[in-house]
Amino acid sequence: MAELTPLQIVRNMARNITSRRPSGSGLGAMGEINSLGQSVGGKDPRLDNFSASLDPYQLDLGGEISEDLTGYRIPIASDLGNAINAYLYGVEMNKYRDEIREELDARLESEGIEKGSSEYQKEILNRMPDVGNPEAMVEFGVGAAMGVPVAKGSFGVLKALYDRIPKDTPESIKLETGSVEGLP
Amino acid sequence: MARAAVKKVAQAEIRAAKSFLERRGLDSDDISPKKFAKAAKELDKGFQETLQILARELSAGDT
Repeated sequence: MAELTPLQIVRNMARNITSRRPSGSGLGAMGEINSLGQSVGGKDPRLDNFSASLDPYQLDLGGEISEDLTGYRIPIASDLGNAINAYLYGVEMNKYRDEIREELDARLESEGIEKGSSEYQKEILNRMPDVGNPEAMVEFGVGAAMGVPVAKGSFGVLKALYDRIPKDTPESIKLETGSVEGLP
Repeated sequence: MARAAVKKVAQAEIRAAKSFLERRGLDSDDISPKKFAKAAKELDKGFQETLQILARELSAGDT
């Protein structure tokens, strides 16, 4: 299970932002034109012409500010805000992961599974949700960072999240179906 | 009477973050002062260094 630090999540978010930027927006990437002057890969050369007609100041206001402030050029100022959201999201997710792990440990212990055993490792892999993998961050993108208020909350919210994880134990099936009939 | 929950970020810290961002031309619409103050607290860094760390991470994503 890949565990990401909050700053790694910010970096993943940055990759996601970069990949979503239109190629001809004047924000770094240039459109590719073949020898016949045609656009390659569906890129519209008019976008490049459009960006060339803008004043450099209009193109890169955020970059000017951020470079003066930080030494790094971030063309869109709100990306810094999104980075903060992603960072806080990562912090919250790490806390959740730790708390879910504790809850899971307690349940495994109550089922008689010894911590550190091979069965324990197998059960952890099966039952532990992958709350912060890179694919999930790409899928969630910046929107996931905005989801922090949902994640923010009491242990009750955490438990609700845990309870949504599919589980095959007789207890969970009994809870859902009211019966353990047919179980091995 | 029940005690109020301890706030993670004090109002004074939010005000300081807002002032810091505004002095540097960064709009509250782009960066939430409250979240910025919270990030600084989590990182255990000053505002300037927090901004640098986040900008560095964003730049790393561009390479």
